[in-house]
Amino acid sequence: MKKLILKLLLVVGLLALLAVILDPLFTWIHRHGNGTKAQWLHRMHDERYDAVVIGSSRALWNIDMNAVNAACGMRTISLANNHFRPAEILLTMRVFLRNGNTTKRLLLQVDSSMLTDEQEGFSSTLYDFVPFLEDDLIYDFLLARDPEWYWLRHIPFWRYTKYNFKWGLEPTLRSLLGRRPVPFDSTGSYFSPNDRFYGTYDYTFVPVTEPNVGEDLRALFALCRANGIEPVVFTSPNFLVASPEHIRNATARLMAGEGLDLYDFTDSLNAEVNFNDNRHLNRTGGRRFTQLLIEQVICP
Amino acid sequence: MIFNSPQFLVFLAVVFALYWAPLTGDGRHRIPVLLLASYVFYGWWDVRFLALILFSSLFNQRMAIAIADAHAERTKDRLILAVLVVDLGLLFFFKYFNFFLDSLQVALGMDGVPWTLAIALPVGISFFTFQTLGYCLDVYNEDQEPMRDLPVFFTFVSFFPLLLAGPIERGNDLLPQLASPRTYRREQLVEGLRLLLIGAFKKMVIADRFAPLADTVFDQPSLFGGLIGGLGVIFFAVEIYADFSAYSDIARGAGKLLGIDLTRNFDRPYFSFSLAEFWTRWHITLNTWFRDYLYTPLAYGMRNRGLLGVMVAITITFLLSGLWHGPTWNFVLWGLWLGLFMAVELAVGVRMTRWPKPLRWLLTMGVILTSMILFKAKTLGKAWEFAGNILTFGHDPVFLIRRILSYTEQTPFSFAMTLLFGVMLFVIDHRSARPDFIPRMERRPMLRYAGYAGLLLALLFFGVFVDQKAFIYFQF
Repeated sequence: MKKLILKLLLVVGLLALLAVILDPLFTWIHRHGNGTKAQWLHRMHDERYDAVVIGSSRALWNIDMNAVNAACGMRTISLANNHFRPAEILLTMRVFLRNGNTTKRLLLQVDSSMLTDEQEGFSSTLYDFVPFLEDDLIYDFLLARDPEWYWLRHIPFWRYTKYNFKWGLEPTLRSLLGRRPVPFDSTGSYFSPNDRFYGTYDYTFVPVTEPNVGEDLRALFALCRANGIEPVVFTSPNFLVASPEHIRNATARLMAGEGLDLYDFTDSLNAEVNFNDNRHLNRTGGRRFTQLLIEQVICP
Repeated sequence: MIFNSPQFLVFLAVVFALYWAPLTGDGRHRIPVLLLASYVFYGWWDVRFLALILFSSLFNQRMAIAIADAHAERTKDRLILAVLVVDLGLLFFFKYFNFFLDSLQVALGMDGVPWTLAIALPVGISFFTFQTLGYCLDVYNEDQEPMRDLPVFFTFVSFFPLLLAGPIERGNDLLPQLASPRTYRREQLVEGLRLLLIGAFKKMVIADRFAPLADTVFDQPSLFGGLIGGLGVIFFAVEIYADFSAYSDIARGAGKLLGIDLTRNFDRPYFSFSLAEFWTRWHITLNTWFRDYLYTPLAYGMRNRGLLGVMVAITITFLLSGLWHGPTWNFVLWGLWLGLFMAVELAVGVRMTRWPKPLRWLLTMGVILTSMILFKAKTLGKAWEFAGNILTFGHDPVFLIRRILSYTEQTPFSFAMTLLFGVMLFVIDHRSARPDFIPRMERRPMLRYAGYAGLLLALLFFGVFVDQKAFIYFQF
């Protein structure tokens, strides 16, 4: 048995050595990459914007930032991301401001799901920040939410093994070769390429209200106040998504508590012709919604 | 504590160390260590259910001894009847009570009346109940001597590698191993480690990568239409194959590390050329259980009705096997579907063996794959919706593939890797059927070590560590 245990220890030792070598290598490559908003943020320093758009895919997909810039003569950028929820939004804005960037307005897209424990997609996207755990601002924020981030920072390569679907071998090689696909344009938005509808007519949305989920949004508004940023809050259009009244009320109530108006566009484009699916606008819908935002919110 | 978690790895290492440590000269400590470890493992899920497994162990042990010691046949009959009532009664109460009440309400047109009870389903109850029941029936049939050593019997019922999803061991196979002193055998440990590594690979690199693909398609079939719906069934077929195969490997591997050989429960079932063959390769111990304790007596009871009797017996057996899997109409219909096809196959008989092999394989897999819609869908309504969607076409397949990749956060490369791992599993499983496969691997140590390194690296770079799913059969 002694011989077997020695062999096992040798295997474990080799794996540990591999992890110790690969961890800094992967970190270095990803810090120089360009495929995610977290990587953008890492390199974005001392930029001046008139407005920053932030929110989930329904902010990322639905707004043509080039049209906004052209119509309003402003310098804007989208830091929205698929599946983003208040935690990611708050962290993103903290890093954005810490790096010396400024914006006059924050155009915040909120969803009814932001006040619930429903997660868009499959998991939170806090893992977008995995290669930046050496940054204490990011690490402390994440550690306060889940003690597991301690092990992710301190066990070599565990973060890249655990989140290999985002930061594993393929994304690393792509980043190294400069071939990592960037799922948004130079303004940070992804605008639907077509007008097809792939949605469903019986979309069910059963949210559960969580009393503390508004905490991150409140912290975000406090951050805006402290930095002289005007927050402007809007909802994105839905098609055939029945959002329960109490959830809508909860969103509006939270904004009222903060002294903010809620620009509610939930039912503004309620027709199949505007949507790719029930929650995301197609190219036509995106153009129309961008125009609505320009006219009613950004530069009326 | 699921088998594919770091906690289980630590738990197994601690149990292994304590088990083989020279704490007593003759290894007397090993059964107490196993028993304690098994209860810790079970209590980890829900400590309340320890009382249930303790009761079940004590009751069946005492009853088996009473049956063996009884002189009158009538007494034996009464005792085995009591065993059947208590064991199946517990299973009925915990697993089927609410289903029964729900169905009764619907039948009486009283939907919405809150009759059901808040009963939590103890994990593994279907498995340890069938194991203890089988043991008592074997004692009753005088195929098995009763185990009078209490700790050994308690370990037989709760042995952690098999507790949650089988194999459903026979007393004659497992009890002698537990009761006899075990000695360390290097080959057994090496084989155990190998099975653990292969099992972890199958679960975390194959099953858990196919799972989100299948889940996404089954959850929202109307978003994907016919083509992807059909692919969804295949995704689930690969997932459950890899998942159950992985569980069986890890269970056997953990057993071997502790010097115990568990029964092989999974033997490349998708390479079967008939349904009958399929069920001798899939969940082997459960199907053997149903064959020995249900089908055989039923068929014997209906022997005067000839082929029709046998067909009815097999249909009833599969219907109940379906119900064993879960208290839903999905599983009842799933069992009925398979039972009817098994009966038809039986009626066709030897004529089928003359058909070309590819045709037989296609027919077999066709029945199995269609049955998986009922197995996977959460409700009958969902299954119906899914089946209806499979027949719809028209959407752009490339867009739908992109959509499923987007929903499951996979890139084309990672999707291709998922498919590649799936294909690899079946190629290796196909090759491993050759009699010279193992000897050839034994003769080539470099190839073997390269294989192990490949598996480890695949786990490191492609394993699923986020939102890990428990093994599918744990829910039964």
